[in-house]
Amino acid sequence: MKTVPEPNAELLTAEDVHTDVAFLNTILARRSAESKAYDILQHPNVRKMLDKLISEGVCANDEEAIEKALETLVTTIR
Amino acid sequence: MIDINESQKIVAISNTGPLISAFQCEKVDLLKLYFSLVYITVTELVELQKHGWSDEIQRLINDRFIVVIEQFTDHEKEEAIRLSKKIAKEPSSGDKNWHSHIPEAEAMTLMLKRMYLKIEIILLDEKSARNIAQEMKLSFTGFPGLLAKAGLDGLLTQNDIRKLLKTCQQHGTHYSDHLIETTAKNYGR
Repeated sequence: MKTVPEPNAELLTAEDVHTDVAFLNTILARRSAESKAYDILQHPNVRKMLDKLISEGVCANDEEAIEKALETLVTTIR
Repeated sequence: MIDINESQKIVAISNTGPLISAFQCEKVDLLKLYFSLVYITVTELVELQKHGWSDEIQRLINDRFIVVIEQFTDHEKEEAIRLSKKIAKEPSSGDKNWHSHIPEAEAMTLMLKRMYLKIEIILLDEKSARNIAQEMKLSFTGFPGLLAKAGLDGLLTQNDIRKLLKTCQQHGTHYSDHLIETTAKNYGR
């Protein structure tokens, strides 16, 4: 015989479902972004360029180097 | 259709309710679509076995999709007792005996205390436990939320969602007709 615990527990509402979907969307979006960032940072050429910029003191870390690189690129194509 | 690769899936911990719902409507595949791994505690395993779901849960343990956490530190045990008392005191709690809330309280404790497990979400259908999870700033979802997400991702039609939740309801899970209908209409393809 298959049963459920607490069959008289208080019911979930439509609002609860909206909250759940928002949590799932947020986490999945973050996982996807982390995965993409990881792939990009593991690329040997990208890694080499980032390490050079940091070791020469142009940027403090990966984040700053990527941000500055994108700013430069956007300025270039304007 | 969505395509989530393995590295983008979520590590979760689950209370018994959402797992039982997935078993009832035979939609364990949806859990596997969004989650890479689901932890449960040994008290949850015992509860699942007590309610007749031994074969279903054992299959997932054998698949290494479900991992059972058996040992707790004294500090974790104390924290789980503290949380289960809070859950029992919630106005929405249908069971005022705090011992009954140990499984979900243990799951919350693991999520809070064992950062190295990288648990990002707790699966919870019980309102009182969800209120405490919210207070502790934990991310959570119930089984209807998971079906809604699958609907949003184009995997389930309105009728699919309606039928799946109705099946759970017919097997004793406390989903209201209103919840079933609004979830189907709001999220079904």
